[in-house]
Amino acid sequence: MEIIKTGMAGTMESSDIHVIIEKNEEAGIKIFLNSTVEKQFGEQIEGVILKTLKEMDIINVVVRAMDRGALDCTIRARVQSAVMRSILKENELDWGLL
Amino acid sequence: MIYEGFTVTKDFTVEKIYMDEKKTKKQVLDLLEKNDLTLDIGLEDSVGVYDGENLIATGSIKGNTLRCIAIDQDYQGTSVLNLLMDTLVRMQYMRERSHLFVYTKPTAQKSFQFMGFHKIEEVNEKVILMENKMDGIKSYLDRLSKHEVSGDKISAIVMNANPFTNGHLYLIERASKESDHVHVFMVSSDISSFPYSVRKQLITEGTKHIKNITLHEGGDYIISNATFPSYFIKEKSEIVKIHATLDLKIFAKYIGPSLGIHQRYVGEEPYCETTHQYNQVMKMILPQYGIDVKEIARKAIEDGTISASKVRDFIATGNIEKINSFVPEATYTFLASEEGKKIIHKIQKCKKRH
Amino acid sequence: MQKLRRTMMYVPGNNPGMLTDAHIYGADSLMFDLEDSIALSEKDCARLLVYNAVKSMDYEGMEIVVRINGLDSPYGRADIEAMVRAGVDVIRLPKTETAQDVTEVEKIIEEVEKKIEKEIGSTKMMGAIESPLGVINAVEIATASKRLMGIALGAEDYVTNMKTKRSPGGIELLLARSQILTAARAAGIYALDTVYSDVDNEEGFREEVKLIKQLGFDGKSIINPRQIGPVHEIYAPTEKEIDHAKKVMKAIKEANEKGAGVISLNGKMIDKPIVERAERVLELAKMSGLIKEGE
Repeated sequence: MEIIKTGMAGTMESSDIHVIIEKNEEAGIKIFLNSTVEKQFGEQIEGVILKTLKEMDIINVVVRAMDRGALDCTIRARVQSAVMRSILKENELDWGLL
Repeated sequence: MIYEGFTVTKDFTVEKIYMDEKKTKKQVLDLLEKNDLTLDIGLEDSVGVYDGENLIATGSIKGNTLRCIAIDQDYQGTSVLNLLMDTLVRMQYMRERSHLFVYTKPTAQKSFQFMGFHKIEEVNEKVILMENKMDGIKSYLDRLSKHEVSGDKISAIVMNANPFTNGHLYLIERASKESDHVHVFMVSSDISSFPYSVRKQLITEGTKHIKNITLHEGGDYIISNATFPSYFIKEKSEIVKIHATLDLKIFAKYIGPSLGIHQRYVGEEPYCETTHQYNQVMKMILPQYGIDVKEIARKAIEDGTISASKVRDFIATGNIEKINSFVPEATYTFLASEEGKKIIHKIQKCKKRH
Repeated sequence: MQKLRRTMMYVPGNNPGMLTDAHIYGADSLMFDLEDSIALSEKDCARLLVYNAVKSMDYEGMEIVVRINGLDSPYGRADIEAMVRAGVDVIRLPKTETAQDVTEVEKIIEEVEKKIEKEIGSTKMMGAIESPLGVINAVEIATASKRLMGIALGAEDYVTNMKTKRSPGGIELLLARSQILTAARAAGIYALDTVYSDVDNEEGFREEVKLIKQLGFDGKSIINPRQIGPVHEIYAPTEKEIDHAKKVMKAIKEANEKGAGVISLNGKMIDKPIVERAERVLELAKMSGLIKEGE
């Protein structure tokens, strides 16, 4: 799946995660994570982000995430939304991808 | 239709602020003043966070920067900052901008760090420039350094070229002769009367006979809305000095080294006070980082010295033929084109400074 | 035993903190909102957030209702698909005015259920009546689909259409409430009352809850956890009602043991409505903490 434009989703409010999805000019997935709980859960959050991207078949991408203590389901939702926006399909969900 | 929301935590409302409403503007000014801030000129859009009738936070956007952000003392450290920043970032996203800058007081650094911003540079405990990309300036420098050319004398010139004149050409030619290689940075913020695409095209065409130069897009880190906002608006002299220092520190500390630059060429500025001051600051800052400043006297012709502002003056007053001796052929030809006429028309309608 | 629906609490669909916490307050049902509380630019985000929350959160068996956007908007169809896939209990339709509004949504729900091989009919529906036309058509709406578990009044738009506004006594809603309630009863489904927006006015809220309980509503849509307590308190049965209900249940038990065909208590025959009322009283008493399980 190709990223067409920068996609953003989520808020900076407590329990949420703010996610920006950009095209990666180089190959691969690059994640920049900023979190209130980074030390304890950083790896876990990155894991959820990676898994969600993988399920959606997104390969070359830069993810900028600011976590405010989001649960896994929130992280998944925000990554999915940001990706859907970045491929201009926010209102025509392809359930094969989610 | 009413908003049937949950009202446990969200007692605050966010509203767009119209500065032409006197009462609202006064509220904003008061809040800024309490936070030791002033209202910037030429803001694109502003919002306020309200607790009932009271304005408790405000913020604005301009280009890819967030401006004039202030929160009432009583609400600091609460979710108000989250709400405000969220709104501002969303407004920027709607305008398809995701790489954002914030220009603020160093005391606010921690708060903005929490909002995902990273420090780029600071000036004397007065201002700090931050960006929301952790690798923002680093990846810019990485890209730049791919164009590094080795040599004993590597020079840089930064120009807006609004539009490209024989004066700019003279400066580039002079640097070209005296250096092994010249990096020319074209200011890319689209705030000038000639759009960036046109300015770039005219510089490219006007310099294609010069072999030892590389043209670079100035981007966000050289004389941009973020690094040197007062270039684009009239500001008080003290503010200009701070802005200039910030811009030049970024150049000296990061951009210069990434291309191995030894000297920066700049044209003498007898007309524009802002640019004059910028040059003065340049002569103070760059040498501290081992970069020489070569200030070159303006090229003079029969009709006086050449400058882009004079060219625009001629355009504004309709003396198009007078421009001929001031600009390279490419620029003159462009002005005669359809696109050029449109810009002439625009300049004649509203006379701008830059 | 019938399910209690005294309180159906609105939760804005794009707020992760509320979506993941809302069940701890003890409302009977949660209603995640994708409609009015969500800005147009955030409809897509709210949809996916609710989808993921419902799929992965443990709401401890609490009933999950989702208010979707209308099919006249660009979001309605996607909302339905996402919510059926997520496995919500009930899809709540906004601004229901005709039986067709119900059947159109039902058709899409069924398509999705078939596609994902979910039991046909397992996704329930609920209609919110928010306009004069909807009130007039309440009966045809209430009987439009087997999936309908209830209808609700949405008063804010309704009073505007009626060229009036809401008052403390609620006289302006008398017809709408009565009509919706009667339609619901005729169809054998639930009737839920509209929201009370002034969260800080507990006195006014209590008055309204007493009124709608007396009218016969099953419960009320609420917008804040603070409104749960008063509703449950007012809906709680009195000691006398509980005692009577217990006696009714005992009489049934005795009659069953004896194999008697007709059940009577204190010389009066116990028929179906009396049994149902007793069951409801005991369920209410249990939920209100007045009696313990098995009592």
